[in-house]
Amino acid sequence: MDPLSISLIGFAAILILAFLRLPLALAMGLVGVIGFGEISGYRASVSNLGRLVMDLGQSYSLSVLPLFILMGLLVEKGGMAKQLYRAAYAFLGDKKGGLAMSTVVACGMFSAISGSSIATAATMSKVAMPEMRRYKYADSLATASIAAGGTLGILIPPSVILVIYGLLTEQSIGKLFMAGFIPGFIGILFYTLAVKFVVTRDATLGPAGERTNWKERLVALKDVWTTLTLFIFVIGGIYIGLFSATEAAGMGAAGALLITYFKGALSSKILMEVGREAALLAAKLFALLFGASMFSNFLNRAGLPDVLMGIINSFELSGIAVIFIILLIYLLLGCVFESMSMILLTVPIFAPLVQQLGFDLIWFGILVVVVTEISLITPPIGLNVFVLKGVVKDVSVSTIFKGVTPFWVADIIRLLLLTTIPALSLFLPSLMY
Amino acid sequence: MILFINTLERLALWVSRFISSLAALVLFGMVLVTCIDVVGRYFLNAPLYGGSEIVQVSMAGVIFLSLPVMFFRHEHIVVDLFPIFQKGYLGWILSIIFLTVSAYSLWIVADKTMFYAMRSLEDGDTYEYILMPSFISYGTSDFAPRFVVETFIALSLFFTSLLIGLRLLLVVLKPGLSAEASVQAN
Repeated sequence: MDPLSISLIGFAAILILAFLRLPLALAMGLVGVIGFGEISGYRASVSNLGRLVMDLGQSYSLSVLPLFILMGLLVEKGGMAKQLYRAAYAFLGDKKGGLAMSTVVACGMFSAISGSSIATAATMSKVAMPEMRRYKYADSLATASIAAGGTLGILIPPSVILVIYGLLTEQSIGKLFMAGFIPGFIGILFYTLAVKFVVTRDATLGPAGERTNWKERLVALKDVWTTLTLFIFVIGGIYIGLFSATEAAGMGAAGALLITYFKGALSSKILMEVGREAALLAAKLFALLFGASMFSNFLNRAGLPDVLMGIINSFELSGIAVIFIILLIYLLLGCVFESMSMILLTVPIFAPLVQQLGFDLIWFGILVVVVTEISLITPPIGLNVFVLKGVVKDVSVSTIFKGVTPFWVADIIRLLLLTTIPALSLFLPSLMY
Repeated sequence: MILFINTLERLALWVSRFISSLAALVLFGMVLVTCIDVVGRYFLNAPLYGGSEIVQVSMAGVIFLSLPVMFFRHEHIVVDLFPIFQKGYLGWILSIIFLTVSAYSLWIVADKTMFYAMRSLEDGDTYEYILMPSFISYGTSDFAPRFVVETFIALSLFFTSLLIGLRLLLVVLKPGLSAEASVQAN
């Protein structure tokens, strides 16, 4: 069978198995083993998987994952979200739509210590939603600002998705983190503008809150210094080469542990619960990584990257046209796939292609993460929307999706901007070492 | 028979809680090791000897202690587009097929990793930094053999496969309930 058909059959098989609710890790692993086996024999195929489990399970660079996950979970328990929100509110609350803007900014800051979008949305919804309800914000704007703001979790470093991308494409995790910084900042800015757009059209959707005087503002800032210090320490440490990503994650987890402890939010029972949850989450990711690596080995063995390159050459497509096609594919896949699965399935296919076309894989990684962020708020299964629905039970999913639309548009504009101006992503990493 | 299986299930739940607590402790150990390493390097001019290898070994501990629990509790990342496939008898039958496939695949992989572990035992493959505890004498090397961790990985996979088998049994005995529903029942 030719490489293209066997790869397509494999891809289709994964989709079918996944839709039938076979765990994705198993679907990818199984198809990977069978595909590889059909090409090179089953003995080689199973050996390949065994070796892969053994090596990935003891890889130093992957050890960053459980540590960052632990740090994020500790931060969730530590009550930092509330203080971040209060600080953002102190500066923005008195503007029209100010509470929604504060939500976006607080989400951005929370993302700087958490590597997960879902965690960011879930944590912030518990803090920001009651406040916005108190000031009679429309449900659509209130929930949408949290769902959209939460997506920043995977772009602003640290980010679990960027770590996975870095491992799949053999790019420096430190550089990827730095590359996510400016695009994340643009994200905060654009979401704030989206809020402004909404309240300019209808001021009743987001009334202004009370004005905070400068004395109170300084007090609110004082509360968040620990969180900011933790961020600067962890990310700054990677940036100036003080320590590796794994060491940064370890130190970050220790820092989060101390902060949570001194806030009095940490009993030994909670600590053990957090530890168990972090270990379990890490194992889930590793299962996916095993499956995805096997699937990607199969695609490479089948020779898919060369075939795709041949197709591109035969259509005489320009490089940037290919990038746009890939982004379009991502937006479509994002409608049905959960973020992590989408990245694990597609990056092994697209990354070699993008590299052969002469593009920077760090830049491409940021684009992939931004389209993934978009997928988190795209109907019908935008995960962040459902996280919100889980916390705020009396708001319908369609209301949230309706409210999300301006944020979605802001995201598309940001994506176009980042695609056409690579320097926005690549400037900070270029300053490293 | 039913009574026996229920006891088995309670035992499995208890064991999985215990080993996932172990995983948590290993994870905290990992945090400690990285901190000692960094602080030692910058402030005391004495980095932890073999720190990165200890991190690698601990990570294998965290992951492969959690893997059996994760499979037993059916905590997977699933594409949640068609909830219909987990409802009623359709969900039950699909669960049985998938659990059988999972248990079998895990067993095959476990078998292969065990093979690698045994080969590394024969080759006398060791770590580069982690030393052998002095009270055990093994071969001629001063360094700890790799097969210990590799065997642990293989055993974890065997155990995972067995736990999936147990989950399969529990699902088979309750017709009409999918694996997810079976987990929620306890």
